[in-house]
Amino acid sequence: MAHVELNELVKEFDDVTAVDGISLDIPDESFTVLVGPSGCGKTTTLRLIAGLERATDGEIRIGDEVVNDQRAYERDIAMVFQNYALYPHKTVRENMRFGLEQHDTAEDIIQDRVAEAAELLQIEELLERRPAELSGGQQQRVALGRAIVRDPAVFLMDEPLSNLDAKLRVQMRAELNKLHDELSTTTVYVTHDQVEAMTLADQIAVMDNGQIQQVGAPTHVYSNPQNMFVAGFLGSPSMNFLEGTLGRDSDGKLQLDLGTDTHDVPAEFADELEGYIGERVVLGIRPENISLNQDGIAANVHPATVQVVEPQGEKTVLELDLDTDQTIKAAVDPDTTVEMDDSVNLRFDRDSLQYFDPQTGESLTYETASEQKVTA
Amino acid sequence: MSTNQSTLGQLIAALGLDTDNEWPHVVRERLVAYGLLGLYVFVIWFPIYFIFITSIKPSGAVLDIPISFLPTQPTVSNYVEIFQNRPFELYTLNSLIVASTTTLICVTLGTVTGYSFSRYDFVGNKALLLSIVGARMIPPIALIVPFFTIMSNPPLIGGLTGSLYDTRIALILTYTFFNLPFAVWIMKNYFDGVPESLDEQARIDGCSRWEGFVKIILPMAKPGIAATAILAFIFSWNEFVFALVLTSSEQAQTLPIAVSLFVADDFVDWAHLAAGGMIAALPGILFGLFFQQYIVSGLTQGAVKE
Repeated sequence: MAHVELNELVKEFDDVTAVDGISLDIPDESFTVLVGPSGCGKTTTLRLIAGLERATDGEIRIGDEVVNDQRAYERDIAMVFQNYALYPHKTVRENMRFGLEQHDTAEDIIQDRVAEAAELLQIEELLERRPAELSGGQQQRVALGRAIVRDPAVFLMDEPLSNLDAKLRVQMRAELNKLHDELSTTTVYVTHDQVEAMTLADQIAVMDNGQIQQVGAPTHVYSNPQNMFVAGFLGSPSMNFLEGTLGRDSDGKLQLDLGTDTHDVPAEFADELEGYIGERVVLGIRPENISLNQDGIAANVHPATVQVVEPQGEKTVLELDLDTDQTIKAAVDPDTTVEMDDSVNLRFDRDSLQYFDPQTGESLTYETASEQKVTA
Repeated sequence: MSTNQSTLGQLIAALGLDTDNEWPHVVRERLVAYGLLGLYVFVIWFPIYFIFITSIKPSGAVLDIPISFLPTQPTVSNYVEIFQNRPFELYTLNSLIVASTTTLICVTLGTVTGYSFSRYDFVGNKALLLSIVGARMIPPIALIVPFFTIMSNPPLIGGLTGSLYDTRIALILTYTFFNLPFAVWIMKNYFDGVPESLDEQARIDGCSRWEGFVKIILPMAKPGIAATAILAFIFSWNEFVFALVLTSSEQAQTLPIAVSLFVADDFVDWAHLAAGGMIAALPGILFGLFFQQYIVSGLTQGAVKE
């Protein structure tokens, strides 16, 4: 077991900076997920930790050792590749043994470890088969097994579930969770799938453009995004952004002028937003925090017209045009009976609002919002 | 008409075509395909069959008119005579040594070089690869004089002196020159198809680059190696022009030259030529048959999930 620490890590390929000075602390026994869109540098970061790429600058520590100049096999890591990378000419057993043999492990230990891992992953029956004779899910298990037998300080996983079909992915996700509970090995996991990130991680690092945008517990990051990128990336359908000019209403309270409609800013954000009066501000609201106002209260509602109705089973997603000509998505109760072209009034959950600076994308209300949620 | 129908019906049944379950146009297309393939096989094999028939005819009966396409008085005397009257065992030995050494060199160097071109991104690698393969595009005949000159008066390297003319080494060097570019090209393309994550997994498992290559990648490259070996062996086994120019005695002459020696100025010894031709053809065919079992698709199947 070991913690992993990245300090100002940089990786440049010719003229492309894939990893741009990231610092990240990966605690011992944690399950840390690097998540972001493709090309954000998450896989490169993982490969830097693995020793498959050499860092241009910065420092990688595994345990107390700086490992920048160590080769992959000296780093006490095991990696699961997106495509599993099983040796096709070796049986499952030989695949699992190979790494231990290379490290001159004693034969009885090899046999014990392979047997244990095979039992843990329920692949005992497959040990004498070759990878080509296995299904995708079984190959995935073997790839995991090969990592487990090594009993490494750190597991590195590069989108290990992305080649499985949807049902199997959900199943393997649960098994990975269970496996981490049992083994408690520090795990760094790369994915572009935010659901995977949210369900597996106890620490999530959202990446974009080679930089870490935000690190934290998944639910914290989801509820309190530090910038518009994180806000938009996590959640499906993604957060709605409405841009307007900040001003005051007749009572002197803060109000966002959205054009033909206005939005009253909750009083607790007054201090933080005071300085932005007269400037453009973006309001962020998640689809699930929007409801249809059916009790006729006139305050804080936003008139809209239904454009698309998408029943998804557990919820119904509506695409609506606000009177201000902005489009917004709402996830509502599946029993809601609305049709295309219906006029509705939308109510925004006032505990779930975020405000951003449209220039920098930074959250203007991060501190108040996160405190509020802690106290609540 | 009805006989025609039934003959066609028998043919269709013999070819395993299922008229009950296939569309009629599919059956017709298959018949055409079988017809064309049959013609192709006939064109390929008829000359070989004819040489075989000729090789087991008595010398005097070879030029009989009408030509007989079936063995009437089969005899092995032609085969016995060429080994008795000429050093055919030496020619065969020369061919074996030259072809297998060339194959070994080409496969070894081609595999290592191909792997390097596939995995290492070094300055000028594309240009270098093109220049290696491009050199092979020159018609061999244009290189006969340079090769003859070099082999007759090799540059002095490390005390090595003397002429390589009429030695097997001359042929091995020449055939390696012609085959190595193909070997590099084939192996490079083959390794390109082997996912790099396997190299990386090997490195994580504790292999050096070389160990990973030998223990993991090379065993997967058998089909590519087999293809390279077949091409190199058959080229070297069959090559005639350079063998003719670079050798002059049975200490280095190969089978194609030996066979051609049955052609004199005013007389061709067809029966012995045919027997020699069969001897010359056989090992090449056997070698090809042996190695083609490794040319199976799907050897890397199961390595990665796409």
